[in-house]
Amino acid sequence: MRNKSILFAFAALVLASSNAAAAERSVTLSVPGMNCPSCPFFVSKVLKKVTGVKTVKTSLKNRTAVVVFDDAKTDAAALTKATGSVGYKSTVSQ
Amino acid sequence: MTDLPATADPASSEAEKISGIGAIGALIAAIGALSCCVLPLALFSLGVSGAWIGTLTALSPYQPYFIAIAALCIGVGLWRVYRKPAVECAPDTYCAQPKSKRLVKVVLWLSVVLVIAAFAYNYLAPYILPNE
Repeated sequence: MRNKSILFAFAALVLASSNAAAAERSVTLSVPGMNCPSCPFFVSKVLKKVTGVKTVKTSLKNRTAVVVFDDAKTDAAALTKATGSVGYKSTVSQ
Repeated sequence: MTDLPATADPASSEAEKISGIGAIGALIAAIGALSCCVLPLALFSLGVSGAWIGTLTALSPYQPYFIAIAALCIGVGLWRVYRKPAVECAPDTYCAQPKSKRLVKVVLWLSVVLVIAAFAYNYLAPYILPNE
């Protein structure tokens, strides 16, 4: 009986810890080169292709891209690398 | 009747040269005007992607210059190619044959279409690009 509850507690801990790692994060990328009518389209498309990215919202006016992603699957470095791959250097602004 | 030289009228061969240069300039400038926005989009939708996209779109601020140069070349080219020659070409000479002007006209009008497309794209982009 006691072993069962230990096992149960252990299982719950494992589940809880793996869920804690898979958190949704939002990051704002500053993309200074995104200054033309088509530019946000390319940035948005390439970011959406990154595994783990959930939503992308670009602002031509502010030259930013707000990305919501699963931080267990990807990270900000992968996002800036993605934008760089289509010729738009980006940096994390917040 | 004696053989006439290839172009009886030096003014019309000069006009041909100018309209020809205008046509080439118009085409190059029109392609330049397209290269910042329409061209990357077209290639991207065909699956071609790469860092060159950002390099091309970086030309966007210069697009008005491309369009202006294209418009100038088109204007000069069309004026010269449609202008009635001062001396009518003699029927059997080269300058009387429509072929000499047809290619120039085709290139000039093609440039007109390309420039209009390049210019219109700036206004149509929000409507034709898919929503994010």
